[in-house]
Amino acid sequence: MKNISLVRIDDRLIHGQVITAWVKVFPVTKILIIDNELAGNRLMSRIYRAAAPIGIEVLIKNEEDSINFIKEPPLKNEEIMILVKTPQVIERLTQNEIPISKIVLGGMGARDDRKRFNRNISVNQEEEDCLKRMLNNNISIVYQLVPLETPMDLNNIIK
Amino acid sequence: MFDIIVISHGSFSCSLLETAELIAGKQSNVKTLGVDLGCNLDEVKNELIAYLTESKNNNRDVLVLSDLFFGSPFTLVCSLMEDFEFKHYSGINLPTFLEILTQRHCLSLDEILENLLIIAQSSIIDVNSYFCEEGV
Repeated sequence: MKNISLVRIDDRLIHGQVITAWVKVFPVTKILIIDNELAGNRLMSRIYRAAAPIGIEVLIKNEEDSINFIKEPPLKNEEIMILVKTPQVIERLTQNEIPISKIVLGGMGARDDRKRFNRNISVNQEEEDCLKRMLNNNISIVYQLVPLETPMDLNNIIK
Repeated sequence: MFDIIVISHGSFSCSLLETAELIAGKQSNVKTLGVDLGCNLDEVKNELIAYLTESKNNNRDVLVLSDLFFGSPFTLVCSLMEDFEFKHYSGINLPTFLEILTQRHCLSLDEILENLLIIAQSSIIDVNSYFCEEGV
């Protein structure tokens, strides 16, 4: 199994200074973006790969390939950050025998089907149910946009 | 005269235009878009598509200016670069923006772009050194 340093939900994926701030605190060698749609989009894949902080490799894979990849033995010094757009992707990892103990919720933008939790997090019913299931399975979920901000336990946000 | 779309984080694009208009006067055919924390990116994307479509229908060249290389407004613009034809420059600031606004009445987009990077790169100035060299 690969060494996973950080699991983050942020639907803007790699954006500017935010990801740079996170890799300073979690010095990973690879960022694995798990997203079925993005994995099939050559232009956007190219852009996100180019957006990587210096010295960090960005892998963009669909869910199936990601599960196989994570289950491979780790390379020397290899540390991975997992980046996804929605909680369901992480739940499917856990359903495929990949242990996840902590998730950092960064950003889920507003959409017509979503209701607002706070300024930066909006969820639809399915996403809320998924987050609650993971909380019930003793996965710690915190909201934290940048590392300098104090993490907020999701239990205190979901009422 | 070509069209300009400025897209940024928060209200920067809007304020940039407002401030530039203080100096260069009221502008036409300049649109601004802002991406806020937790906002609906699809909505911003649809607005951008509407602006690009309008320019295309009017047969006008478009210059899109984003604020931050690899920020989410930048990424949003990039996602449309295959579907629409426009020029995209990232890292817009007030001096460079003013230069574009004041030249676009007499120059074409291509003519402005020929020198834009040079103008942009000389738009931040070490004032202490400048005064030193000038003997002030």
